[in-house]
Amino acid sequence: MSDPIKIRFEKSKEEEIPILQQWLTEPDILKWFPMVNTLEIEDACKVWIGYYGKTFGSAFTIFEGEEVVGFFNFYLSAVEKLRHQSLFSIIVHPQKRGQGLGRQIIKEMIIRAKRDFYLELLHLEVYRENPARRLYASMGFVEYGVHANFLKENDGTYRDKILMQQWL
Amino acid sequence: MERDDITTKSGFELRYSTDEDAPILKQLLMDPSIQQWFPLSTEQDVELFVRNWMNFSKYGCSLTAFYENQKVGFGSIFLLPYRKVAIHTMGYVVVDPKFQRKGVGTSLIRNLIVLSQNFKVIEKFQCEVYEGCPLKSLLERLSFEKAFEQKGFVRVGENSYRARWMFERSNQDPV
Repeated sequence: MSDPIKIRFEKSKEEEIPILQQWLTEPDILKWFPMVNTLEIEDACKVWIGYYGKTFGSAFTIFEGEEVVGFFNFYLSAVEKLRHQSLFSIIVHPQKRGQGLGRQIIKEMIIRAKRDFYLELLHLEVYRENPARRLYASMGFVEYGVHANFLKENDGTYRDKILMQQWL
Repeated sequence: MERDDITTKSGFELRYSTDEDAPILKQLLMDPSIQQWFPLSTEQDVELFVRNWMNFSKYGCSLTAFYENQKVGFGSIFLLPYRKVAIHTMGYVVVDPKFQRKGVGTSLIRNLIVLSQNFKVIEKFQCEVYEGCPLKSLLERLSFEKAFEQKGFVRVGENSYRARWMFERSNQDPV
């Protein structure tokens, strides 16, 4: 087992939006997200870093040295009854996959969810075909439902969304 | 079948909602008997939700139920922003407690379904309700099926939570 990659977490800044946008433009990444074009990607990045990052401080950028190697975000709610739980998104540098980075990020994310945001429940949505499901399951996320035919691709095929969550 | 169905009476009508409906909608959502079935608990929460609702009303997505010129209920569909998921819409309904169990909710949901069918891209109509919500039986009567349930979604007190139930129906099905 190789040593874990030395990474640090910083609150995302608006100037990092173009990096996130560029990653999401790559077809191999974009296929796991609901956006289809530049306009939608720009909007998603503005929501991710521009809104959640600015409003709640819940968007994080992960660095290895000076290089950005990942992002994650808690989609926190301003509504009192929903503040105990959060959906999250995570994305790893396309060239840094398969090196245990996703696992490292999720581990730290769970610590921060409890310690800094007082979250009790973390949940996620992932397409059935996404191999990251195995990673989430191995880190304690349990499938609680399937939203069948949630997403319709341009060619008319449908994808199911798998719903997973973990009490902290 | 609701007792004393007022929706067949001449004093009942549905109109597209306008900004003028916001204060009454807010007033109803501040009522604890209604609020318990929404993830809202403060005036700020309610104002945010009403603002969002009214934004959709500008796209012809919202209906107001009148009975004898009094606003007795509201319904709206919320559209999803990205093309791949725009096949879904989420419906919400609020009925004045004095006019509940009189067919108003059923009429609003039926008409919201028809309204959503005007948006050709929408294939599924969804309603998110919380554990124990009486709207469940109405949805089941209108052929909605539970797509999934998420436990712990709404926190209603110390170590006390309500699940969210996602109901949906195909827009191909007759109303």
